[in-house]
Amino acid sequence: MSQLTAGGEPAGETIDLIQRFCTKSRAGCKGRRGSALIASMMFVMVVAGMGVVMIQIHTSQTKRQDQSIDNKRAIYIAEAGLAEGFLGVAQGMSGDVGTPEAPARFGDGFFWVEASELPNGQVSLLSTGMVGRGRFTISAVLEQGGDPIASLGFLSGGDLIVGEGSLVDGFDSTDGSYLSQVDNLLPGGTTGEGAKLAAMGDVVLHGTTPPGGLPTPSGTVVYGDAQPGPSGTVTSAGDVTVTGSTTPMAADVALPPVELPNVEMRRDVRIGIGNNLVLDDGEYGVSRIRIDEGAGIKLVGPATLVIGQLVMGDSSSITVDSTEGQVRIFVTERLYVPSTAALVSTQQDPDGFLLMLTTDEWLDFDEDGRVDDPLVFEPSGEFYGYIYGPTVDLEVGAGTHLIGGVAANSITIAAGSHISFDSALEGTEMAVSGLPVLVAWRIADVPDQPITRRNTTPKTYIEENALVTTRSPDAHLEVFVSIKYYDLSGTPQSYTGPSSGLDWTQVGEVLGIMWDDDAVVGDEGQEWETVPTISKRLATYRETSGKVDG
Amino acid sequence: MPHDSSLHPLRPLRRCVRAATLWLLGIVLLLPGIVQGQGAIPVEPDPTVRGLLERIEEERGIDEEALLDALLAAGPVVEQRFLDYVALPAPERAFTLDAALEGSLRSQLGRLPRLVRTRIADGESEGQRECLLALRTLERFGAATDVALLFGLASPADPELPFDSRLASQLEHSLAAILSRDVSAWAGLTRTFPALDERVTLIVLRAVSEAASPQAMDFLGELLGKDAGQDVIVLAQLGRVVEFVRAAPSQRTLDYVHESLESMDPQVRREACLVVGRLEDSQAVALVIELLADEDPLVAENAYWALKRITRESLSDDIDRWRLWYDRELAWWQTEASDLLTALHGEEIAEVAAALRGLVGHGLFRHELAAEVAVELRHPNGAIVAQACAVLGVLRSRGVTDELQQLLEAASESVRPHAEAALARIRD
Repeated sequence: MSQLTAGGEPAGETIDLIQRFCTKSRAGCKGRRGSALIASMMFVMVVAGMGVVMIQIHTSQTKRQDQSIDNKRAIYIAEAGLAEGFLGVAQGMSGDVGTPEAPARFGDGFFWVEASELPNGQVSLLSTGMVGRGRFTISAVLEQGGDPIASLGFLSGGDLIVGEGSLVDGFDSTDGSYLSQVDNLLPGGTTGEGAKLAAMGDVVLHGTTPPGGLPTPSGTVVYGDAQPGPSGTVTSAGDVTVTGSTTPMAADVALPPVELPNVEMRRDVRIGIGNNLVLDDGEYGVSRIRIDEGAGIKLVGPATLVIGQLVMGDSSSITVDSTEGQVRIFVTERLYVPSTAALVSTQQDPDGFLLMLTTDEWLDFDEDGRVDDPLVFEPSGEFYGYIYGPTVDLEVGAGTHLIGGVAANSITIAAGSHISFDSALEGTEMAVSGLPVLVAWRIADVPDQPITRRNTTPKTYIEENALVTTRSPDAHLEVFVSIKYYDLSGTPQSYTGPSSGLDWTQVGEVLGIMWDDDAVVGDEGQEWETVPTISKRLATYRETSGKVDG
Repeated sequence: MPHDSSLHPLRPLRRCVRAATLWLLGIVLLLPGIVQGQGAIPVEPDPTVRGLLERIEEERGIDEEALLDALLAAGPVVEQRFLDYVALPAPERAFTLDAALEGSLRSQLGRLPRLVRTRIADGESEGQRECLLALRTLERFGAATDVALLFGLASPADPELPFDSRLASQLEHSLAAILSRDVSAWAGLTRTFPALDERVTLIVLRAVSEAASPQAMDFLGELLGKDAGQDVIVLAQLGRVVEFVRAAPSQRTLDYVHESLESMDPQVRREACLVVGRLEDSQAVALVIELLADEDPLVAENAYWALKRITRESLSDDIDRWRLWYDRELAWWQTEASDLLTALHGEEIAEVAAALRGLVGHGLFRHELAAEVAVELRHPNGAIVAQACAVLGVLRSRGVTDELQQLLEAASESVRPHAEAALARIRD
């Protein structure tokens, strides 16, 4: 502790101590002069360095985040491209949308889709999406055509029963008429091959030849396959021969409901005794048609007829001319075809006549106080066509030679009947759903194109190279269309030209459509797309026409 | 305002105890009802069915003639609904008649098939529609004593004529329903079957297989080998039964089916392949593999189907590949399987997990392996249980569905999805 005098001055001893200290300090400070500055500068540099590192880390993180966001956006854009390609395939186009040189515009980004046809009717789509620094490519494989119901032959959703002494065979209408393919060495006027019976339940074959049955040597003969459902069996008794497979089917086949065309229903029609009515191509809706004895209707295709009740009298007929297109008859409440009535096809083409049935409700149609069977189908002679009735129990009369195919809730073939499957139906698009089915999906390598290289954003690249982009709905390569359709009033129409030139809102139902990338539509071997339920696709056409740029 | 608990410190506790007691009481009272379906909502009748029942109620009964007319007028869809509704136990119905009317209605329905038979004999019947109604009534309410009546109603008047397809089909369903409902009907059927007409035989055998019960399996098993000409159809029906009945057929039946795989008749060989396939009978694999080279391509086709069904393997139909596969499977079973199964039931978690992995991919013994793996569903370690579920899903043996179902009911949230996935794969 220092000593102070009365005047507040330090005492001599204290002064001496201070002087000594100061002398010593000066001597020590001489060698360290400026060291604090260096230390502080080093500290500042360290802090600054850390700051730079932090900024770099942050910048790098931001870049990574931006890249990640761009990649995610690129995935979504690539998926949008796939959806656009899918829509194109569903509409009968190739699925190509845009090109690397002229990509499709979608939101802030761009995409293009390359489609290639694979074996078995599959289509591969490769969609590349680009936005900012993000690039992403997705590949998908689609199966065209949906459920090929007609290729399954006579298909029952439940049991399929074949009566005693029946004959089941098949032929191929693309190789000529049924008669021209009959094997004369076999009894009973049969081709001796090509039968196809399938049931989700059991196949029951009764075999004893009845009196008056077909003169087959050994009861019931199935010249081909008779396949039950996965849990079903083929049961046969008596003289039954099945020359083909009886192995159960691998999986159940569901029969989707009938989709009725939206047709205005008009008043009842009665065709008097001996009269004939000709309905030219077009779309018609009638709540009740009664064809009196000896009278007839001729339907000229392409035509669609929606009927509530169709009652045919004795010796009456319906004649179908499918030279120019398919004839479709939808019967919703009652179909009565007695054994003396006839359904005649001028072309003998099973693909040309489609009979769609929803007649499954027993009602008192003739107002006698008792309900009536909604479905009696016993036409005489040959019936060429395809019958689809997912809810009806179809019984085919003994006097009918049914040539074509059937899909129904259950099928009973009367004793002594003859049914023939037309294998040409396998090659048609007689499918329940025309929409493609996604088979596989994977992430693919981004194609090496100038626009996908990362030294610039696609937007910059497009601006620098003055590329032309198109909004996604208009970027399909096929811009020219040839279409046959019913307009909203049910009148048949056709159009060939740029897709944008057609007022799609006036298209009622598409009968056939072809697409091309040049104005000469159909020159590259395209075929008309004529899926019976193509009306499903109408929704997609309308969606397209009303779509806004993403 | 002070909280109640400040006045009565035990009051919240008392409230909790009271609520818990009420919950417990509710559960105790309702649980048996829920378990036994007593709590099920009564079924409302279809409007047309209700109309008919109301008419019966208003008129205090109905005679069988009027009932027959009313049902015929309503049509087959409504009559089926009416019969289904009346056949329901009274507590399950939203619309019930009083006991006297109920008894009277059932008695009229019991007499209705005989009335139809009388009308047919008198030539007053509307034919097929009335017969169908009578057969449907017997389907719902018939007993063993009505079997002869069933055949009488469905048979054509002229024995030379074929059966009406609808009547034959309904006869099948009605007979199957009686066989399922009244066990005494089997004895009568066993007695009368040998004397039946060939056309009726098919209908009866299909009805037997539709009944899908152990008795049906025994009945068909007894018929095998009695009439060589009938073996094809009996085998086909046996195949139909084993799809739905989990019990295995008798050893005699199995032996006969195995012998049928070597029958001289290709039709019998075809059907026998399908039966062993549906039975998933691994004992028959060696025989079935040899049928891949059968002279009849249709037999080979069915043999291939059976092999895929039994083993769940996806080899091609090349017989040499199947033979090689079979030899490997046998060798594995004889040399490695026992060690793996010992490790499977051991204490070490890692060894159990490794054993589970080692059991995958052996389709020949999948049922035996699945039974062993199912034991591990009770393992205390959740990860092992989950892995066992996954292995069972791969083995796809129907024999362990009960164990998986039990696990599904008792398992924790973490294990349940694995059990569900395994069950889905097995049922697929």
